Amino acid sequence: MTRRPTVLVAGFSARALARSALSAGFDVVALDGFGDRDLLERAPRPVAHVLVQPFHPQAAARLGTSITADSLAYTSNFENHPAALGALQRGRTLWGNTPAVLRAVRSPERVAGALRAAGLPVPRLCPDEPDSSRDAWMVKPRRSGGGRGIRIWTADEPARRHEYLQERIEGVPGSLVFLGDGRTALPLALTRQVVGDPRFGGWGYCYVGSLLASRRHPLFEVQESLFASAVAVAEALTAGFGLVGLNTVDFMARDGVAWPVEVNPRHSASVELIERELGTSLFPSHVEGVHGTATGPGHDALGWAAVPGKAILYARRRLTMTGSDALLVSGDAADVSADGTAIPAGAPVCTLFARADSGEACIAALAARSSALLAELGRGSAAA
Amino acid sequence: MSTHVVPDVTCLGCGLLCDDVALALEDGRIAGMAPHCDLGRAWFGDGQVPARILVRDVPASFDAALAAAATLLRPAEGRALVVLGPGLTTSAVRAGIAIADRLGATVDTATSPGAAEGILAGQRRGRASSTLGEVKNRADLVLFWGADPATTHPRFIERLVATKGTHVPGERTLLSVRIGEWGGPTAPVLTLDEAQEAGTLAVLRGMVLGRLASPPPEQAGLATLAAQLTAASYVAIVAPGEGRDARRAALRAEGLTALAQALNGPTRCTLITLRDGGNRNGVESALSWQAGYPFAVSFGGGAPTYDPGARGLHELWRADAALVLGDWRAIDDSALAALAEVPSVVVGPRASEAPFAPGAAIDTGVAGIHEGGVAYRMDDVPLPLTPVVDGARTAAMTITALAEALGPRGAGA
Repeated sequence: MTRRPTVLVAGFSARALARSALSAGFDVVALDGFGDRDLLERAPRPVAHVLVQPFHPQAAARLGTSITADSLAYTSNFENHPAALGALQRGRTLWGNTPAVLRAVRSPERVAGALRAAGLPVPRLCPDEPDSSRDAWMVKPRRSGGGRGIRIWTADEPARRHEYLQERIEGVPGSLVFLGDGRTALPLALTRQVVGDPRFGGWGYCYVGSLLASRRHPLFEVQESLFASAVAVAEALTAGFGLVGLNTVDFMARDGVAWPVEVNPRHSASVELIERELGTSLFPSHVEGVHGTATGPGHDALGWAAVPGKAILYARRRLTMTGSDALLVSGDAADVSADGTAIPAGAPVCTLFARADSGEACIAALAARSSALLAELGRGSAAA
Repeated sequence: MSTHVVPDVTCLGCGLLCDDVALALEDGRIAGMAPHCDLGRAWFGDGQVPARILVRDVPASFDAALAAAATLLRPAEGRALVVLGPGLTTSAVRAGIAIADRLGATVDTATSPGAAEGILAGQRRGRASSTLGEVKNRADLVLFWGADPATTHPRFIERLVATKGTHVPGERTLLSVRIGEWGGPTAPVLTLDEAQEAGTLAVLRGMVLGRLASPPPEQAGLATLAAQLTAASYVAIVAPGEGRDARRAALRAEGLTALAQALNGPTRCTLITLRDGGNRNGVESALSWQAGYPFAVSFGGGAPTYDPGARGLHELWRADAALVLGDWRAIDDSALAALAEVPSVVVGPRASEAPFAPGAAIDTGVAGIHEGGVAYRMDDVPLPLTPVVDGARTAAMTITALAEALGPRGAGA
């Protein structure tokens, strides 16, 4: 028996990916900006944890070079920092898309070109200042993450050097989680995204949560057509850029067509919803995908019996964490920081999970839980 | 010619530890076995084992061999490897663990990579299991998951399935899922290749929990299986417990454990893994209750520590000397080759035939053939062993004598 590989799991919040690797039997060294209790205290525990606060991939790469680990798996926001990923990867096997692939697939121009060449719909990009009398445009940071920094273009606030303009597509936000093997894409789930919802402390276009769509409980109009359209996009991206492992493509759904707006070429927030429903880790599938075999669990990507969902709860004002023990044992919360942790306004408090018989009921259950938790934390913070 | 029959012998030929075996002896040799079992017959053989004592391949006295062994092992204190192989009684295993503690050694066992992954999966997420008696008396549906007991545990069906259960009013339902080359005792309800196994288990679990609905036509068989499992009163999942492919074994163990746990909502389910014999479970049990961990234990730090990712036999470069206790034939070829590079001592059945030129070799009898005591069945139930034929000195006595020859910790190091 050879020594089991130790995986360095790095990212802004490593908890979900690290748990996925741990439950698949890997030894894990975690590196992130939180060190949440459910990452550090649940069995099996990581071999070690390195805290990088405030988290930045370059700082993580600097600290990570001294960590002993055989392999590297990463999550947000290394996709925006391929050079940092390259530094962190040195001397290890990379279980994810390479820096070169990240540079290519995170380029809006190259993605648009590839999808257009495949005959698929794609929002236009505006190379210059748009004509304010025609069309609507979104201003997006090139290093976007979690929907932050996205706004509607106005002549008063033109795009800056690090931003680009993408055609504004009216529709419903969603995503497709898929497994790539460098050539083909295997769809794992279609999700409806929750964006900017103030019930969860959200604002603007920030990502707040996801719901899994199913045939039994459709979350989009003309959903089957939309699914086929999203799968075609994933296949074109995988073939065009050689995507491997777990990936997600975000889109705007309109009239049964997926209009891709961003590619997240790494483990994303929706993956754990699938894992929770199947009761299995997708980490082995991810690793197999990296090695060129995308079999996946083999489930029906639209076969869910209910609507499972998750929401990230953001602090509207500065809070102090209390009651983390109860959250940890509740089974419907994750990313739980230790009691006494200061949570600045706009920072994530924790992640909540729910399951219901419709999208509306799931969102309502998440919102009710969010409201109760915020009230509790508000009282605790006032008392502190 | 003198002939007689020894009834109620416990056979360690596989993990089933059948304790209803009758052996026919002719002139002190085992001449027959009833009921017949190929694995059992191979385990007992004719009951004859060598009884040599060698020091550097030259015949020596027992005391001289012990002295040579102690001289070889003492300088390796803190950097020794103790291998607990099969064929030992639990008393002999305990004595071996005491030596490992005395030497501050790392302990490796005959726990296969597949079995180790099963244990680790249980440590990660718990496990729904039971005794084999419960399977016999309560299981009305037995699912053979890539398991072929006819080959690996020949009397499993006869003793536990094709027999009346006290709480099974009608006929048992037997289902088989074929995985790669491994089918079961009935025509397969599903045929999978190995790459599909983990995913299929996840989907099956999702169906059992009601998380997946309206399966597509290609998964109709899986949906039917999920319905059969949840409709049963008591499900026993029987799966392979050994194997060389650790990665596959880890995924299988994780998936089967999760499925068995999921079935304990709508019904009752136990997961039975088919372990090999030779008292492998006894080694893991004794280590667990003496050191706290079932395998991959190190006494190097003065207290037991656990590093399941590092198995001593495959990291022999760390060892200054190795003590192999039990049947060395369970050691794989690469580790046997590595043992030739390390000063070693072997105590156990056929020690004198070890191919890696040990500094001292003391042949002993085999647990359950020449040596009485206790061995653990694959469901961790301890069973008594009685000696059937005369053999060489017992392993328990020999290992205890070696411990005395070593003296207390620090003596002569």
